[in-house]
Amino acid sequence: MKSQNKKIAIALAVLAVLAVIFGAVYFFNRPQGTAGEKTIEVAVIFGDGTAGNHTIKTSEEFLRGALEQEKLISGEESQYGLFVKTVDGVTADDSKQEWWFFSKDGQMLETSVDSTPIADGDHFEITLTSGY
Amino acid sequence: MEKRKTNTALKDLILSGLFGALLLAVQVVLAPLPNVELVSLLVALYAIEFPRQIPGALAVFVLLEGLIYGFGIWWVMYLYVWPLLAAVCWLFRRTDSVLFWAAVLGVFGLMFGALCAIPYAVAGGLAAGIAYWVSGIPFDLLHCGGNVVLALVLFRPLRGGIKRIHEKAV
Repeated sequence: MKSQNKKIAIALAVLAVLAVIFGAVYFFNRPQGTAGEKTIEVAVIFGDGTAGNHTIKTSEEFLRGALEQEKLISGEESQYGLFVKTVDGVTADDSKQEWWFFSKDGQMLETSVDSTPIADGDHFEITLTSGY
Repeated sequence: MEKRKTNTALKDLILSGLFGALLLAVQVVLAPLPNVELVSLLVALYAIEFPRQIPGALAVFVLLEGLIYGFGIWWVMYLYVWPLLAAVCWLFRRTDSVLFWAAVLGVFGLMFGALCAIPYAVAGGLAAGIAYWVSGIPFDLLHCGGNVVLALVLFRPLRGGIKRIHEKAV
């Protein structure tokens, strides 16, 4: 019984300590937008390799706002934010395992469009990709 | 003797398939709820009550998930995340406290993003892995909370049900 109580206490302590550490890590490293006017470049690369380039002037702080301002994206709301299905009028075809790959200067974005901050001069690519 | 062995193997196979299918069913049904899932609790209960069948159940579950959602990089995580949870739960299988299991499943929910970041760190570098983990921390906190609440509410009744299956099946 004593040993069980000790196990419970340790497990609860581990849970509490980890929750505090993780919360703190997120708080100090969370994506933060910057206020003010900015200009970003967005290249949309379609399935046939052609590209559409867009220069966006915006005061939005996150990528979603800037792209929606230009009516470039639409999709479905999900627990992670907007799940982008259509870009520049082209909808990814699930039956062909198509999806939109978001990158910045060629590097995959680790955050959703909702939580990707933008800064003046940023360059993003949105590529129609096949295969999961 | 040989027949009994065959019967046991057949029972193991059937139970593994059923348990794997049940994991998939609860995953799909609860998918619309943000980071609320019953898979962790069921994996813990299987590991406690059905340790012999759990490798098969997890194999069925992981394979079906891949077939349904595609074998992307996320799928690689499933190859070790669920077996790891099962192994930890099996190690503590003699502990019979709802609070303890709520804490274990809460820690698992918290760690889920960090564990899932490993393939991203391997593929894209440590910075990419860390960025992936940090951006998902709010979801890990939700996952943790969901697991704790579900364990506090459902651990006893589900364990009772699984024990009854155990008594009848084995």
